[in-house]
This record gives sequence, C-alpha cells and structure tokens, in this order.
Amino acid sequence: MFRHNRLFWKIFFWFWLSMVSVMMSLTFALSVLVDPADILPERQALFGELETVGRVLERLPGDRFEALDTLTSWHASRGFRNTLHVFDEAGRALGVREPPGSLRDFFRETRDATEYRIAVRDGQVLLGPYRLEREGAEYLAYLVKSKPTHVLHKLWRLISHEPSVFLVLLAVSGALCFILTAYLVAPIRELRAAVRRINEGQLDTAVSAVVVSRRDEIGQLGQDFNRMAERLNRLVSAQQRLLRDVSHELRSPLTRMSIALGLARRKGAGGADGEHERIEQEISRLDGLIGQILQWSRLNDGAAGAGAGPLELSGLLAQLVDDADFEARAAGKRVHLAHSETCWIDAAEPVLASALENIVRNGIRHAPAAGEVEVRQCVAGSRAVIEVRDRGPGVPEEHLASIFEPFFRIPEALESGRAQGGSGLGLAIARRAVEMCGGRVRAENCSPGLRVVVELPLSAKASAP
Amino acid sequence: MTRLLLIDDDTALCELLSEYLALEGYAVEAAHDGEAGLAAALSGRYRLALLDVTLPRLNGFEVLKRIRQESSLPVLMLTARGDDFDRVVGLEIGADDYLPKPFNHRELVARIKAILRRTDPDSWPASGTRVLEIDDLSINPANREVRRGGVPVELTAAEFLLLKTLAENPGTLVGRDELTRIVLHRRLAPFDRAIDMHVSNLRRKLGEKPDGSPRIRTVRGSGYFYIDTPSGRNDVPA
Repeated sequence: MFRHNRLFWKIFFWFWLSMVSVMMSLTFALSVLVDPADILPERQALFGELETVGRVLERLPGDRFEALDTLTSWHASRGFRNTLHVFDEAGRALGVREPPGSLRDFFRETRDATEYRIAVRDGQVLLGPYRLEREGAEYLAYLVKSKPTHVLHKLWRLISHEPSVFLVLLAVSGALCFILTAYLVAPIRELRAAVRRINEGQLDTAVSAVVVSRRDEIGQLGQDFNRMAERLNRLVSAQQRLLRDVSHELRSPLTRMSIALGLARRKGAGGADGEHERIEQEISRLDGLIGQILQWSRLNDGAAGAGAGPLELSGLLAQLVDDADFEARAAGKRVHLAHSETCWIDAAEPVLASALENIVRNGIRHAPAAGEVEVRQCVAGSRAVIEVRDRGPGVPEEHLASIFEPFFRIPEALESGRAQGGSGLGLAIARRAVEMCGGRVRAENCSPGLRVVVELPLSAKASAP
Repeated sequence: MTRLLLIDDDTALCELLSEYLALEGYAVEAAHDGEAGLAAALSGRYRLALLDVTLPRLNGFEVLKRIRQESSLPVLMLTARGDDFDRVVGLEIGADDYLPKPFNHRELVARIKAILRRTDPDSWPASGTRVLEIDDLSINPANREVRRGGVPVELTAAEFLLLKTLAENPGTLVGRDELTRIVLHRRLAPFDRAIDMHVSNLRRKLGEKPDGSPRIRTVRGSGYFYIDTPSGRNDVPA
C-alpha cells in the first residue's frame, strides 16, 4: 500500500507539514510582529500589570528603591522576564540595572505624557510612565517586558491548555491536505492505469472524462494522452489492416497459380514433374506464410483473446499431436505425446492451439530425417508445463531467446544453407499467443535437440466446468 | 457431363477453373456477381454451386441465404483461410462444406466429388432398406426423407447423413473425426468446426423430443450421440 502510493504520501505529508509550519510561523509572526499595543485587551492587561507594579513601588519601604531588584526577581519568578526601571525627574535611572537604550529614548518621548504609552522596540515591550510620588519628589516607573517570542513555549501552552483545539487543528489541516493530495494524485493513477492498458495491447484505451474535463495541467495531460492513444490506435490498426489486406490480396493470384499448375500438370505429360512439384511446394509455403501473417496480425489485434474459457489441455494436446503426426508422416517423421495429465486452463482455444501448433511444427521441421518430436505435458504446482523436444541440431546458446523474434534466422544456419523452410513467424506467434494466455515460453538445448517449454497458469476453477 | 456453377468475381480464376474442371469431367459455368449467381443457382440447371464469399452486388453469405430459402442445391463455400468467422457463418447458413483459398486443385476435386457423392440419388441404397424409426422420427434412406410425427423435415444431404449415422447407434458416442469422414467424406482438420455446425443446424431443424428432452448430446471435444430412450426405437421394413 505505502510503497505503491509513494507520491500520494509524499505530497500529503509535505502539504501537511507546510500547513502546520505555516500555522506555527503565523503564531510566531503574530507574537513577534503584532504590536500588543494594537490589541485592546492586551493593552488593558499590560496597563494593569504596570499599575500593579506601580502600586507595589508606592508602598515599598525605604527611600532609595533598593528593593527594585527584589521586585524584578519576583516578576521573573512569575514567568515574565520583566524589568522595572524608575527615573527621577532629571532623567537619572535609579536602581542597579542600567536601562536599555530603547527605554532611554522612550523615556525622553513620554516623560511629559499624561497617560500610559506602549512601544515595541528591539523585541521588547516598553510600558510607562507610571508616575509616583515619594517624599515630595516625582518618579516615573517604566516596565520593560521581553516579548514572549518562544513559539514552542506558546505552542506548548496551547497544547496543554487547549488540547482539543490543537487536535481539531491537526485533523482539519490533515483532512484538507488529504483531499488536496487525492485530487492531485487520483488522475495520475488513472493515467498510469491507462498507460498500462495500452502496454497490454488495448489500444482503444482512453482516460475518463473526469480527468479530461479538469481545467488544469493534469486535464491537459489527459487530453494529450487520449490524442496520443487514439493516434497510436489508428496507426496500428492501419498497419494491421494493410497487412491483412495485402495478405488477402495475395491469395487470389496464389489460387490462380495453384489451378494453373494443376492444368500444367495435366497437359505437361510428365516432362516437368520435378519443377511442378517444386512450384507446388513453394505455393503451399507462400500460403503458409500468408496464413501466419494473418494469424500474427490477428493476435496483435487484441480481439483474439475473446472467448477465453476453461479449456481441458490434455484433450487439446492429444488432438493436436494427432494432427501434427499426420502432417509429419508426409515428411517421414513422427510426433508423439509421451505424457499428459488432465488439467484446465483459461485460454481461447484458437489462440492456444495456434501457439502449440507452431511449436510442434517447428519441432517437426528441425527433427532429423525419420526422427521423432516428443511432446510432454504435466502439472507442476499452479502451472501446466508443456515440453516439445526435437532431436535436431539445436540452437546456439546466444540465440536461444532470439528465436522467438519474428523472422529471426540463425546466421550460421544461413551460411551453411541449413535454413529450414519455416516462415520465420511460427515461434513469434507461439510466444505472443502463450503470453496472451498468461503463460511463458522459453527454449533450451538438451543435446541433441531443442526443447521448447511452455508454462501456463492453471484455471482458477480447478475442476471441469 | 455434370454441370457446376462457379460464382466468383475473379474472372481469370473462373477461366482456369473451367478449363481444369473440364478435364476432370465437369461442365463449369461462371457468374461474376452475387445477383447473377443467385439467379443461376435457382435455375435448377446445376448439381453443385461453388460460391466465393467476397462478391460484388450481393455477398456470398447473402446469396447462400437466398438459395437456401428456395432450394437445397449443394453449395461449397470458397473462403479465405484463417477466417474462422467466415467458415462458421457459411456453415450456419447452410453451406455443405467450405474450402479455404488458396486451394490445391486435387483438394478441390476431392471436395466436389464428396459432395456430389452424398447428394447423388443414384448412390442411395435401393428400396428394401429399412426405415429407421426413433422417437417421433422416421428416417428413410431410400428416398432420404425424414418425417417428424408424420410431417416431412427438409434436411441437407450432410444433415441427413449425420442424423442417420447418429440414429443408427443411439446412446453410442460417435467421434467427430468419424462423423467428418462419413458425412463430409474427408479427414477432420485441426479446429474444423464443420461437423459441429451441421449438428447445430440439425438440432434446430428437428427440435426436441416429444417429451421436451434434447435429442443429441455433445461430448465436448470428442463427438456426439443420439440420446437413447428405451422403447423409442423399432425398425420396420419400408
């Protein structure tokens, strides 16, 4: 789950993180930038504090404010880092603490003020003046509060004082991010599914209107994708159609040639029997090639897999081997089914049959004179395994995978004139068809000869329908 | 000479075939489009029609459909190899057999002979053969007549042979290869659906037994048998 949705979670967590950090920075910025002076309740609270402190000062015993430090530390113990500063009329600061420069300026601005003032300078809140009289002299008291810039402290206070608010905040931002992420990632997923369908050969794929109708980059991507898929589909079907039309067209002249040959043989009085034989062979080879091209183009059509149902494999093989044996006898060779077990697979019969037929025919072609092709089928775990072995020359190891490519010819065989009369499409058709049935095919040398192994998944319905 | 009708738009092929089949002892007349072909086929002058699928003005299936509405003239469909759809459709409509193009001249002659043999009244057994009675059917090999509850049922030659073969051995499985040999006079080719199509046409024409049960059972991939009902059968001399 997590692995496949990495982008989803990435976007989700980043959004969420940024949302939460934006909230924190806002809190921070508010605490730093917003002048408490602008917030009336805050002002009242601050002035209240100033007055409290002022009244404490008025009632202080002694004459020279020695207790200022005591007072300051009392303030600090209450969680405020406040300092109290008192000036006399001449502007001298009393007490042991040197007032900060900003306070000196503030004092000069406000020494004649009739009401309390607030200023925020250098990250400190300056409050004052509180006028008090002692022994006939007037003093001005100022309170300097460091602003509570501790975001974490504030946050902690928020969490500890209002856990429900905090949780609601997290939940709401989480939900918002989830929706946003889903909105971004869902169409990407759909695009991916569409690409996969195209990969599997369903060229008539299109992404849904939900994606295409979006008025953003993803919607445009969806539209572009649909245009691309449509174009691809047109190109491929045009190519398939051409291939099929050409093949169909080739049939007419071939049919005429075949009949003309029949006539020639009737009239030729045996003078050219060898040549006639040869022409007939070539005609049937051309016919075979055309048939295979058509088979190939139908397999790549995507419509060929229709009608896949549970299929009993050993019966199909028995019939197939029987037919192939009949064909092979014409060349003085044999095909026999050494072993088979009843099992059901999900496949369209013509598709699977064309695969196995082509593999067996390939075996017949490469079997030595009077040789035998051996077919074995068994069930191994959840797969049916079919092996077709000829006792021919085999294939050089480096070409074992390539023999399933269309029109692949082993170079050595060409040089030594050993190119056997296949169309070059048989094994390609076999591989394509086996893959359509959800299986795999490979070839291996088993000196002497080549063994082609087909593995097919068993039908989910293990028993007969 | 046996007269054959060739319906194909490939004039060159028609000429070649006419010449070749003449050497084999058949008189071939050609029609190059569907309409002309249909008219000729219904004229009653021919023993057999060779019918190409792709035709101008009226395609081969349409021609076959209209021929079947009026006549049981044997028809050999010429189809493109590998188009299973064409074959099945042709047989469904009532073609006696099909031959994929390009065909070998020997194969063509063999098919023509097979169809003519099974549709030739002279080759039918003489009277005196038994009429086969099974359930509500009476099957008379002497005049190839099938009656269901006394009402004649129109069957093609292939369908008749099929029914006769199955009805002679009720309850016994007859393999598809054997049926192909008996009915179509040829060997069963791989993935050859001709027999299955004939069986399905036969089922459609005969309907079910009087008690509503099916007549012919399919054994998937191997063959067919006529379902035996005890007391359903007795042979009477014709």
